[in-house]
Amino acid sequence: MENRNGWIVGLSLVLLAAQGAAQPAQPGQESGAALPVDSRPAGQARAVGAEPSPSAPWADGTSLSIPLSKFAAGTGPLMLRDSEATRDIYFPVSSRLDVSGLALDLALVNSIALVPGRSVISVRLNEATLSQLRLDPEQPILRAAIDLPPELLRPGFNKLSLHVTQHYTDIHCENPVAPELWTEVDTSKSRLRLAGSLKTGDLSLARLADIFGPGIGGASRVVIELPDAAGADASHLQAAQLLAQGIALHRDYEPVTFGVTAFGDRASQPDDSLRFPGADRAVIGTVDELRGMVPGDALDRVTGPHLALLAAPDAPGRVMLVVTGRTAEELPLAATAVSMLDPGVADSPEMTVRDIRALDSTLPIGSRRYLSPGRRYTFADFGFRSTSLRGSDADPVQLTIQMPPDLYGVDNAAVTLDLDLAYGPAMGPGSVLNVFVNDVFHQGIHFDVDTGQRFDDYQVPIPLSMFAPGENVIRFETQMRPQEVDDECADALDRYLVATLFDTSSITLPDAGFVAGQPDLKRFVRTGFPYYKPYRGSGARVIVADPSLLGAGLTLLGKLAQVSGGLLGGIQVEVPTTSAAPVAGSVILLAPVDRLPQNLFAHVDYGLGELQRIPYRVLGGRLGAAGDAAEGAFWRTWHSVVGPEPEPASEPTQDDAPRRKTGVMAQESDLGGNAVVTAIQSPDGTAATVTVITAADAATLRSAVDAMIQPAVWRNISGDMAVWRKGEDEVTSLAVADSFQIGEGGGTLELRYAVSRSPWLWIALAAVVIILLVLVTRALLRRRYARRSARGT
Amino acid sequence: MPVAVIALWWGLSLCLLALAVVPSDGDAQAIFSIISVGALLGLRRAAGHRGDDTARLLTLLLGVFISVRYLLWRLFFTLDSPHLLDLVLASVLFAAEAYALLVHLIGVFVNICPLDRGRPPARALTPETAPTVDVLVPSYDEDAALLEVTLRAAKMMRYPEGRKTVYLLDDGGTAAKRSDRDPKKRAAADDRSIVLRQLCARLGVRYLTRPRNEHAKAGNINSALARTSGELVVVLDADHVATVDFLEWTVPWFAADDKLFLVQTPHHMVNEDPVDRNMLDSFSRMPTENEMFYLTIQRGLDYWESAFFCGSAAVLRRAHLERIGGLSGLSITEDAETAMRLHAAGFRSVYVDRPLVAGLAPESFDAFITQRTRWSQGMTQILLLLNPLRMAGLRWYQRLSYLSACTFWLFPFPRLIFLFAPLAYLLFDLEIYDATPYEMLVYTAPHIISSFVIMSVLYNRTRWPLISEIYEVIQSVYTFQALLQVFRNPRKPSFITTPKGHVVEIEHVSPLAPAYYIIFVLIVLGLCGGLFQFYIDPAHRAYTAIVLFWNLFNLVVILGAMGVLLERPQRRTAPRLRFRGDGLLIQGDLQIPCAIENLSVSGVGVRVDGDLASVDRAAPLYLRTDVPALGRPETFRVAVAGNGVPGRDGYLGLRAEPVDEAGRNALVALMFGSSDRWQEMIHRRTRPMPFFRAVRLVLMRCLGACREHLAYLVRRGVRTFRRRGPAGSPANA
Repeated sequence: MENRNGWIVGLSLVLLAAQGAAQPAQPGQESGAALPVDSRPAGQARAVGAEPSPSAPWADGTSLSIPLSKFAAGTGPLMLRDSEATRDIYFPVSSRLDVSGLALDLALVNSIALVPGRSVISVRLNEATLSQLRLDPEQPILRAAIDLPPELLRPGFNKLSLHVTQHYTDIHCENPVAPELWTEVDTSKSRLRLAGSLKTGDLSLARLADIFGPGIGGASRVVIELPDAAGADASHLQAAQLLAQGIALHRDYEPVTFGVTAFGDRASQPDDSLRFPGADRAVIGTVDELRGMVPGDALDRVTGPHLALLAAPDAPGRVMLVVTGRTAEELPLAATAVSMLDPGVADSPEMTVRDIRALDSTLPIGSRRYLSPGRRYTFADFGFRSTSLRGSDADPVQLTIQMPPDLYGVDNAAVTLDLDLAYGPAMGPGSVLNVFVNDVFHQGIHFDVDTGQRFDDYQVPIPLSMFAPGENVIRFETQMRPQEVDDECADALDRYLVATLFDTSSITLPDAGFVAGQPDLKRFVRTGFPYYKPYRGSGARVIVADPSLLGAGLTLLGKLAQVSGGLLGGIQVEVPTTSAAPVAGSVILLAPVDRLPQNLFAHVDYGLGELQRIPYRVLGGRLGAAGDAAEGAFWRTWHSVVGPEPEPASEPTQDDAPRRKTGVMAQESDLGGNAVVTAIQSPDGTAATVTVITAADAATLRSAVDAMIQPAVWRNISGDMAVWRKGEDEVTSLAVADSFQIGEGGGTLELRYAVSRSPWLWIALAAVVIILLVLVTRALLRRRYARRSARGT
Repeated sequence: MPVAVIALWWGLSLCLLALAVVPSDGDAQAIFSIISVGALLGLRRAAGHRGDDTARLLTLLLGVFISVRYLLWRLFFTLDSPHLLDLVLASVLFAAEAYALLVHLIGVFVNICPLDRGRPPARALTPETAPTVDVLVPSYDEDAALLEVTLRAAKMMRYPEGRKTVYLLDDGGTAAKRSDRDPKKRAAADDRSIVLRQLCARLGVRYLTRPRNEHAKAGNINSALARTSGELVVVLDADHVATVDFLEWTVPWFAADDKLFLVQTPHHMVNEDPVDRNMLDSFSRMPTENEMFYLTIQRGLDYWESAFFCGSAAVLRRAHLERIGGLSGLSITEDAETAMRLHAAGFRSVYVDRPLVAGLAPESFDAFITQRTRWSQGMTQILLLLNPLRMAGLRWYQRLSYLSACTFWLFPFPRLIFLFAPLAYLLFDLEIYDATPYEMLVYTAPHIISSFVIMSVLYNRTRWPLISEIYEVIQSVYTFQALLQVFRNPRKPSFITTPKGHVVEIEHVSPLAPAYYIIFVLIVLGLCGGLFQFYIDPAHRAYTAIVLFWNLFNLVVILGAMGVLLERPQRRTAPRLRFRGDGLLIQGDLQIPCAIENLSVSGVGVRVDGDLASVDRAAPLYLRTDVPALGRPETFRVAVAGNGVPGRDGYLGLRAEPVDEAGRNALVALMFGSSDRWQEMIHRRTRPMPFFRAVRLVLMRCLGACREHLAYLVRRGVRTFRRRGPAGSPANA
């Protein structure tokens, strides 16, 4: 049971495996032995500086061999305990992929106490049992290759189930939870092998979500073509970034890398077509600009903002998405429509967009993903359905919610769960339902009534501080035990144990405001904050110092759209013609280190540029233990007296606290293979954040951004400066910049936040006022005393 | 300068209030709390020293800042509940806290700078210049023996001959009483009237009575005022025995200020009140309950020109009193009401911080409750009917001072709320304090500490920790009902004389005990419920532990109350007090030196350093000793008490047997005549006590007294059982 949590899909329709496991190809992929081998499949998990692939993946048949561990968030082997157990593994397959071969290489170790005739492991794919293997105590180490019929696969997530029945005796009744009943599947050595090619056929905008959707064989790389990438006007750039975000949103949780190329004079233009040969293409331009570029007569039917989905002429199975209009001003509207086509109702390859209007004009698209302070939501609002948990080994259920990244409440602010819950009769000792928040146990409910019980609105208050910005998982885990009886075999009967969590249960957020400390890269990578603020929209300039970095900029924006959960319409991409363009306000800057503005770091202790002032730390010095309890929060603040402040107690704690600087070294050196992302307060002193992503040169920076959006790097970025290296997953994060705050909760809340982060000024002020008041009071009292004494009465 | 300074003061105060409102999270508050509480504790010792008013003010202001910040936090962040009942109860608890803090803050204001008057202005009291003084001793049902001592002492007050007249104002012998329809009452009134008239004739005191008992004590005095003419009026309760220098300490103040209407002196009690006798048992070691008021608060009020009349041991100027028609009778605390009216009329008062009378505290618990009920009802009547905040003529600081005096008596409301509030959570799982344990630690704990520190600084020598809590809880149950009566009809309460001079002869449980038994059971149930909750609900253990601790505190206080309810018998009919003096036992030529150890109006305790074998039991025995009040030695006729055999340490009890008026006067002068003696007595027991030591002592006494109470109940139960026999036994048949 130990690793169960990491392997189970909850009924909230949000799958744990989706958190980074479902990458069709990650570093470490191996070629399958029995299937045709192509060593460069989908290939998007390149490390920094990876060379472009010379061939088009999936174009002519490709195979992958992926360890099962890649589909799970948890680490370590997969344990199957007790007399009967099932573990499900979900893997996504793109609907574009025509799978020709599928096999499972299974590596496991079973207990030597098992009875061979009755102990079996079954392999199921989408509920169909395909293979059964004996668990032999004489040969406890088992390697098996199991062919799976590809026709059982379906687009989207597929369920691979490993089911065991295990016995240690066939004579007497046995203890179903006896410790010798176990089988351990090695998920690193167990692999899923898959071969196939991209489908060709009729293209329809109704399938856009499938084409760009997640899964093995999906569009992990897209080249966006512009008529003039280097000197593109605002409309073209706006259309490009909206298109990139739209595709990334279809891609859901999987990273997608964008390249940019020009179909005009390529001599002075960026050209990523060589980096991404055979990738899907998206062409942006007015009808006039696209003449000669787009095959067929699609352009003849353009009467406004227009989308067309065509087969890519030079890459079988790949698509060309045309975003066009009669004028440049019509292009952003057409590009915006890309993110809307889910589901695509118009079953045709072309459409003209007349208008896009949000039903609630006060909310930007995507806002509803985030919970709003002071509101109540039923579990059904999150897609949760009433679920009955059965048996002693019931899988947990979970609820995934999105917290606004800058939600800030008072200390005792609590998120309240009102659970509608029932459990059946005859629960034995130790039967409980435990509530976990982000894998941290919070509260248990004891099933202690023999006749069963139903709760309506069973309140479980959870401190707001237990929630992190962005995604949070509330997991409900049951431990149900049969009643103790004398009969030895009675324990085996645990199927009557049942508990139901109803979808009428609700979650209520406390009243809170929006204030957050900056800079904070952790918040940035989890939610896109401060460039995207739920319920308030987005706003920032993305400045790419070099046209060749335009693709990297779009890649980053696509990732931000994914993490923020909506289209960031308020963001503008700029390619300045001079390096002296001012960097101020809310900005994301991508530039090689030698192109960074001279005065960018003038107001902070460190700096990047020709002369670098690099913060360093004492080895092993960490800013505080991860996940400290609330009682420890004070000591973290106390430590902050001599260094940068960590998050206030009411803010979520981070698992990977950044390291604290202890000094700064000025040096002349090259960044080499390192890439750096750092966030600082805007040089103009406003409460805005400038995020700088830089590397030694443009090529390294491009590769660095490709690597940065991969989960291994992205999720480990924190603090206000992070460094990662080519080909390595490790990220070094530091807290080096002076903090400031961004708030929209009104003066009181912002004041509270400021005082909470640094109470010293307030304490000093109070001390001064008290002392002055004492002196004045003393003077007045003495004067009166003297008068009373002198008068006699 | 004053206007600018006052403006600056207001500006700084508003700044400080704004800083108190500044919100922060728990960590920032924790840092502030550690620093501020550390500063408070560091300053506390210096603040307790007289003369270091900077440290004192710093401590007070810092403590006020902590408490105000706490209350604002409670207001803005802890009154949130989705359940109506929780919210209502939480609001009630908050209101109680707000009231308590308001009284606390006004208390800080009143006592911020107590006035030390020192000796009166040097004015020679000659027969020509001394104002005429009428000494009025109102009486209702007090014993003649008690009155005799009071009247003798009043007669012995030093004052120019012919300028002082002593009156007994007998309300127990009014025409109405002597014609009562009840023959027994009528006869008793007649007897009393005759006895007291004879007593007055013997002592040279004028006897006054009136037709009807209208307006109780105030009416009695007003009636006397109409029939007397002294420029100054001294009011002495029937049990208030004045020292010989009473008028020397008080009258000269009137010559110094024509606007002066009152000189008030402390009520110095020479016996234990029931709380002290039944539970604390520390009369000579710990400041008595009323010494906080008379040694600290009245001085603070005096600083703000608000020292008020306490009904006795005071001198009033007749002219000013008559300006407002004599003593006011709207409320049943006519003394404070009269003072407030005179202050509003622009007249002034002086408080002389020197014990010049010796009085008797109520002996029994129900008498104690009767007295406090009258005070609480009367002061609440003043608040409701006269409202010092709106009364014309009072200065702003006098309004606050009287508000302090009146609002204090509403303490039963918060006390009972604090008593029952933990039970709402422990027994009914109602959450009426919406805060995390961490917040309680960083907000509530500093507030409690600061309250104790402020109390310690303000009442450094006159009140030990936890004593106020015990006294207030003990009174709350019954005064609460009395207060409700006042709120329903402010004019309804009537004057009830506090029974005094009575003797508790046998050990018994007060008839008021059942209400406390119920509270005790509820608190114990809460304790059990809390422990059960602590066991079954691990998620809220910290919260439960805090509430349990609160409940435990209440349990200790109620245990103390239980201890008070067991009335211990008094060993002597008259209070016997420690005395230091040398004496000589004389019988004929025989002279035996002795040391006088204690003294009462009925006897003397001596330690004999010699052989008593040669003393003839049948022959008269005399004790000769110095009488400081008279400034000369006196010889008293005594008799050996008991079997006449000294104890192993030479202690011998002597019974006083004065044979003439001079002897009786000398005995009263020896016992009550010297204010130096009372001063020394107070000085001996008003001393600062380390907090934890005081708490330990009080806790031990609470537990010990409660244990004795329970043991008594068991003994009584066993006795009853033995007397009646077991059920079904022949004895029971």
